[in-house]
This record gives sequence, structure tokens and C-alpha cells, in this order.
Amino acid sequence: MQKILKKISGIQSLDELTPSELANFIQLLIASEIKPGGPYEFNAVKDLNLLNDHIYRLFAAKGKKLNPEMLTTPLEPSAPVVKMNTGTSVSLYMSVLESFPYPHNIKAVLEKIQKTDEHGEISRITLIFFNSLKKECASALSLSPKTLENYSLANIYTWLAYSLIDNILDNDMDSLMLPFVSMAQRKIVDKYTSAGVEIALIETLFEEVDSANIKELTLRKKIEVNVGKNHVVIHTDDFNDTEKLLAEKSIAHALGPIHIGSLMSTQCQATVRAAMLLYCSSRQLNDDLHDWMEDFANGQPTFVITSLLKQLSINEGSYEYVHLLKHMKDIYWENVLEHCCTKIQKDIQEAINLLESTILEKNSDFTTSFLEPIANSAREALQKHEFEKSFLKNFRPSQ
Amino acid sequence: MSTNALDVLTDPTLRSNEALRQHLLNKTASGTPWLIAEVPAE
Repeated sequence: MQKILKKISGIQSLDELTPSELANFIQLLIASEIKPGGPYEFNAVKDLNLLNDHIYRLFAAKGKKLNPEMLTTPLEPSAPVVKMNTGTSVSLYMSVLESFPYPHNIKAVLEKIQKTDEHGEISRITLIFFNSLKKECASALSLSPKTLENYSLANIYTWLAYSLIDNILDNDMDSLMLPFVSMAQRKIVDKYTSAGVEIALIETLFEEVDSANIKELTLRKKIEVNVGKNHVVIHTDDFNDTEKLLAEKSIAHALGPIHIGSLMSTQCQATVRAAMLLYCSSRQLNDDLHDWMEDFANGQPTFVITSLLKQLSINEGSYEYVHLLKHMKDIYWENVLEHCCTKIQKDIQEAINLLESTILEKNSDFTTSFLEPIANSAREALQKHEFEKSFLKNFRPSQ
Repeated sequence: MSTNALDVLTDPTLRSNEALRQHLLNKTASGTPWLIAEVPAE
């Protein structure tokens, strides 16, 4: 006992512990608790207050609050998190807002897009891609600040148009907003053509997005979910298209970089397009992993949802929502989360390899700001998931 | 490390292997907070 307690006093952070060590530590605490959440009583320890204080601080550092009476002195308030605005250009968003009649109608949607654009993923994607080009590629191109601004505006209009369409389709917004979609679409074409993008490329990529939306909407009719009535009706067992939809749904988001690729060579355009499909797909999959329960409740046939249904060998028929959801959670935990996180890491690495072997500098801003954070997020999710599985394997409660 | 498992310290109902498994599974399923959220929190 003394040895274990000495070891506890020596722990500086819970991060030092393996899942098995953490499970043992927690079991020891449970066996020694005066009440759930502490304080803890150990016969062989003279200064219990000091040890309880140490234990409290170890867990508080990981966001787990135990009983505050364990503290001998108050916890110092943590330093406020200073949020850096690293990319969003306020003036660009103002300019988009003011370009519409009745701007107050789209203000809220545009503000939401601006928040998503925290690191410049929307308004600065082409600028950062351009700044990340290999020297020999950059010197062959001449893009003026005005051209780069047009790419930025075009992408904001793109997000606006498709956010409005999504909201209208999901019945979150009145169809009276449809004229704003038409206006935004005209502005997309205007800004991209002003940036020198050929109509053919604009049409190709946007047709890809619209075709993907048609496929998704068709598939959506085949999964009817009524949470209130605890009822799910599946009208198909063919969910094979959804992996392709991941990327196709948002490929227009990467029109700027694909156009820059086309200015280098046809081969380069194909490579950038392939890399951007992997980027868009990984971004979408990351979001879908986060939102899958909400998506399922709304009958959205995302790749995550269809993977879960396929893994469960769900055929056409009627199911109880609660029962099906329970099995879906199980398979998500056992299989799909791991599969999707591995896929994201693999696809992002492939995108980096494609871009760095052709057009981008190694470890450029585009790689470190746009690509790597997605792979890192998936890696971290996987590590935490593996930690939990291992913890569970080692947790043998005596109660 | 994951902090979800630490809930066993404050919630005695989680102190069986199956209850903890369900808890971890539900926490993971209802939003993996370490993933990039679509809309960053204000």
C-alpha cells in the first residue's frame, strides 16, 4: 500500500499512466473512497489532506472535478483561452452581405459560415494554396491580389448557396429564401470568371456537386426515420454510393486550387483534383463521424450511417428506432469509428503525397493548416478510443 | 488519454464493466469531442 501511495504522490499528470495503470489507480481510489468523488482514506498515510489535494488536482487537470472539499487551498483559475482569428476576413464577409438586397435575411447564415471559416478554410483556401506552391510553379503563375480576392468571394458565395439549399431541404428555412440561392449562384460564376476560371471547369465541378446532392436526396427517401414514433423504415439495401458522395458533395469548395493546377498542366490539374477529392472527403467524414446520431435521426444517408447499416446487414424492412440505434452505437464503437479514422489518416497522407510530389512545397502552409489538422484529429480520436477500450479491459470493479 | 472513463469516480452506477462500456459507447457515439466540429464553438 505504502508503495502505491508513494507512487500516487509522484504522479505529475494522468497522461503518464497507461490504461492499465489508470484502471488500477481508479480501482484503488474507489476502494478507498469515503464517498463517491472523494475524499479518499488510506490507513497508512499520515497526511491525507495533502494526498487528497494532489489527487484532486491530478483529475481537475483533465477536466474531471472531484469533491472540492479535498482541496487544501483553492484551485488557481486557469488562464483564459485567447482565440486567435487566423484567417477570416471580416471585410470579405461584409462585402458578400452587402452585395444582396434584403441582407438581413442571410446575415445569420453568413455569420455561421464565417465561424466555420475560423482558419480560412473557406475564404483563404486558394490564397494559402497559391502561397504554398513550389517556387518553380509560383514563378510560372501571376495571380493579382484582385484575382485572389475573387477566388475568396466566389468560395464564400458557394458556401452560402449550398448552406441555403441544405437549410431549405432540411425544412430549417423557408423556401422564400430560394431567390437568394439564384443570386448567390450568379455571383459564384461572376467571381470565378473574373478570376480567369473557364466556364467549363465551373460547370464540371458544380455539376458534380449537384449530381451528388441528387443521389443523396434520392437515397434519403429510402431511409425514413421517425424518432417520435420509434420507427425506422429502410427501403433499400444498396448503400454503395455513399463513399463517393463524401467528396463529390463538396468538391466545388476546392475549385480555386484545382484551377491553379490546370494553369500548370492537364496532368497537374488531375493530380490536384485527386488530392482535393481526398481532402474534401476526409473533411466531410470527420464532420459525419461527429454528427452521426443527429444525421440518423434526420434520415441522412451519410457514409457513416450507411457503413453502420451495412455492418449490421440491415435489409429492407421496418425497425424500432431505439433498438436499431443501440446496435448502431455498438458497431460504431467496435468497428466503424476505427475504420473511418484510419481511412481519414490514410487519405490525407495520400493527398499530401500527391500535392508534394507535384505542385506544393514540403510542409507548406496548405499541408500544415488544412490537411494535417484533419489527420491529427482522426489520430487523436483513434488513440483515445484505443485508450478507452484498453481501460475497459483492465477495469475490474470489486463492487 | 480519454477522460470519459474517469466518470466512474463520481458515478457509482458505472462501476460494472457493462455499465462502463455502455457509458463510454454512448459518450463516443453522441459526439466525439476531440474531432473537428463543423461549426467552432463561440
